[in-house]
Amino acid sequence: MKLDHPSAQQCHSCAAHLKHRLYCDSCEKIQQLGKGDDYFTIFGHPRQFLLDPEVIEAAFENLVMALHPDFYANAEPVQQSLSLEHTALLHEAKGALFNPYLRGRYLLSLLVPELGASLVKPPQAFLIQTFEWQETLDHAHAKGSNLKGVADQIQAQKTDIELSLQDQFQQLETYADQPELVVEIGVNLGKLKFILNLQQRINDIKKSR
Amino acid sequence: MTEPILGIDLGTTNSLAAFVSDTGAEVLENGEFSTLVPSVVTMINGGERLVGEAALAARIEHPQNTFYSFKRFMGRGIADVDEDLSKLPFEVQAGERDNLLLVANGQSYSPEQMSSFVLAQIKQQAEAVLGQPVRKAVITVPAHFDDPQRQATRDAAQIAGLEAVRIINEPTAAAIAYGLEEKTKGKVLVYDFGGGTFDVSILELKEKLFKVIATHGDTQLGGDDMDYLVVDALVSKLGISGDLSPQTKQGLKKVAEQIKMGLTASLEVAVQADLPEAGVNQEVHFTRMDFDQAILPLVEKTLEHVHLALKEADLCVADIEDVVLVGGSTRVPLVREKVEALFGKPPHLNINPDQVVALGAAIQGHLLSGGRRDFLLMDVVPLSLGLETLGGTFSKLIIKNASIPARAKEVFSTSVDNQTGIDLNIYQGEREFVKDCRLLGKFKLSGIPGMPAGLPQVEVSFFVDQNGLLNVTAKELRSEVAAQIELVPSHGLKRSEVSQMIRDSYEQAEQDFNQRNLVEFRAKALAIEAGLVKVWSEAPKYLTPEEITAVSEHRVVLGLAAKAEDPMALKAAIDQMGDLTREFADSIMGAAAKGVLGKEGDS
Repeated sequence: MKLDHPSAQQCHSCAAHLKHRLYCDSCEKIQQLGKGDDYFTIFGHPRQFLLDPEVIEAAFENLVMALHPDFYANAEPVQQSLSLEHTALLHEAKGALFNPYLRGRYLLSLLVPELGASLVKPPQAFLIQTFEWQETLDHAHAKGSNLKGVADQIQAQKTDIELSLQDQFQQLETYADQPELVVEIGVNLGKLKFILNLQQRINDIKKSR
Repeated sequence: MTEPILGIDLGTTNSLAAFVSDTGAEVLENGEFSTLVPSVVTMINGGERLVGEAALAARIEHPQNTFYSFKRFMGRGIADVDEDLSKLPFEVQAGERDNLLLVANGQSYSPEQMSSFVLAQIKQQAEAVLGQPVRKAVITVPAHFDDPQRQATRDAAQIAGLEAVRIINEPTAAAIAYGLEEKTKGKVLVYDFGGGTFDVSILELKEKLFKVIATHGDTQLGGDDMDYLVVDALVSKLGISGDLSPQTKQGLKKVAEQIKMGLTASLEVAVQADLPEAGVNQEVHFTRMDFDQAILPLVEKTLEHVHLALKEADLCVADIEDVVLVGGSTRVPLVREKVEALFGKPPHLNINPDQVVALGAAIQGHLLSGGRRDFLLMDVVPLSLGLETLGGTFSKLIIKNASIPARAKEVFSTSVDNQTGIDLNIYQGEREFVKDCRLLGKFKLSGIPGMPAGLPQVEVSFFVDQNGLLNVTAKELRSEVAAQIELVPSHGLKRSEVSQMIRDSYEQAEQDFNQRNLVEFRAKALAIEAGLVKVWSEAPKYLTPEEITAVSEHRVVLGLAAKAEDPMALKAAIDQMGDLTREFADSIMGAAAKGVLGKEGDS
């Protein structure tokens, strides 16, 4: 048997070939989560940092139309609770994947499961830079001045970090046992978190205006 | 056939049920019965209860015991209500917990009970229209209702003998009906201005998937507030001073409602204000301009919410394909003008703003009963949910506008050595500190084995189910202690109270049942008597003198039983009369039949 895709599996209930990991088109039974199911694979997306949002969106819509508890109100209790759990999982997974920091952390935990939740503190120079941006934002907020310049700088920094993470994850995917690379990824993820917080702050300021 | 699931719009001012039959979604009413029930209850001293139109008609006669707008008190505490309770003609008291009670004849009722009276009336009317029992319903709530308010709505349904198979948001229900009807695609904004609450929801409509992307609102902003502003204007216009009696308050509210409705179609109205206890009986003139001026601040407040919802959705007015108006207050011309001015295009007017919510709820009920699979509505958490952490800060686990069902977990630890219990205080709101948010409940995770501070790993999981209701569980990961979790409700009813009210309502239902039987049996007794009168002259032909005496005596007994209050005794008397007259009736029938045959034979 040829396994062309990680989701190629059999239905728990009718043994039909599964097109999606969570749901059987043939007997309409929701599947239990199993080994190899993660935020990426449930959407049929490769386990990688570079995300194809359209693949996720399309798979999400198909899955939610198949799994949502509204369609299982009269189903047997096991199917009902699987439907509820899986739909919550779809939301949780989509939310995590669309946030690059959460996506990176999640992918790292998949590739290096023994690694704890420990975050690496970004280097001093980066921190000083973010404090400067923070001050610029506070100032702009107080005076109501334009945020565009600083917002662009922060966005540029974010793009750099994401590109760098893409590279690093690609290397890690080919060979997981690279402690130094894992540390570098940790540093980049730490930076990304700061950057996302700054962007959140920009959004908050914009919304308060 | 699967059990019917009604859609019920449990409104602040009016409630309505709809149902999806073979011919589509329809509001449940016929010439005789109607599920359009004003959300008004009168508790008459002596235990009689009036609901709906009857209560509305009794409000001047029973001003202190006629309750309206109690939806605004559902799942709320005294501190949550901004309105001036002294302006109400009836008494509202703070309960023992952070809840509110309505007082009639020295007895207090929870807002849940009041709502249950309205729901029970709807259930009864719906059963009469459908001709079958109804036990399940999809009930709508304002999108901005928080967890206790939703729970209170479920409780009200349960007390009324209805299972709320789903609680859905009013604007969302409207969007279902609109989306299926109009087949619009793109971003749609639902502007829902009801009797007591205002909601704005922005949805993204695709082929089959209707997704709420943002919602904003105020559960204390509605047509009632317009009425109060008009009442204030009336008080100064009529020169009424001093404290207003309950009857004057009810009277003023009634006049204000008439003015508001009259001004929908005309630029000026004249309404007779008959307020005997205030010494007023005169015609008052009110112009649209006066009215618009009075309510302008309210309308502007709704537009602020619209702007906030747009911001939360990262959209601007130009992104909105269509604006759907829902709720009675959107009939006010100023509201329509302002909405149209904001969006630069007229709002969608093809739907009935008073019915669309119930219709959408009925369609959702149809989906839940397995009747269709042609759409899916994905709703959101209206307000962020989280825990109190160090220093009274609010740590959010599930963020506002997250799609439901939603879940999140976070790991916390202890701050003191050998701490065996952790208090978890659950809040809902958007502010940074818990003091500015709403406490949903507290629970204690106990039984953690003694460990140095910081070592225990307490994983707290939040799960918001498809009804938007929160479930919290906690587990200490090292010891696997998933200790006892007891959520103590801070608002609303305890489970035991709900059970008691259900028992009470059964007793009430029994009384109602007896009452209905009595009416039915009396009618039957009357019919029997009328029948006997018609044929009594023939009696000597068919009955012995003893039998005639027995029937005559029993006619008196039956007459007395029909005047008494015991339905069972009346039933017994009817049955006995049946036994006494069966042969007589058969003989008369036989004679009549023979007569017919004889005539046929003659011809």
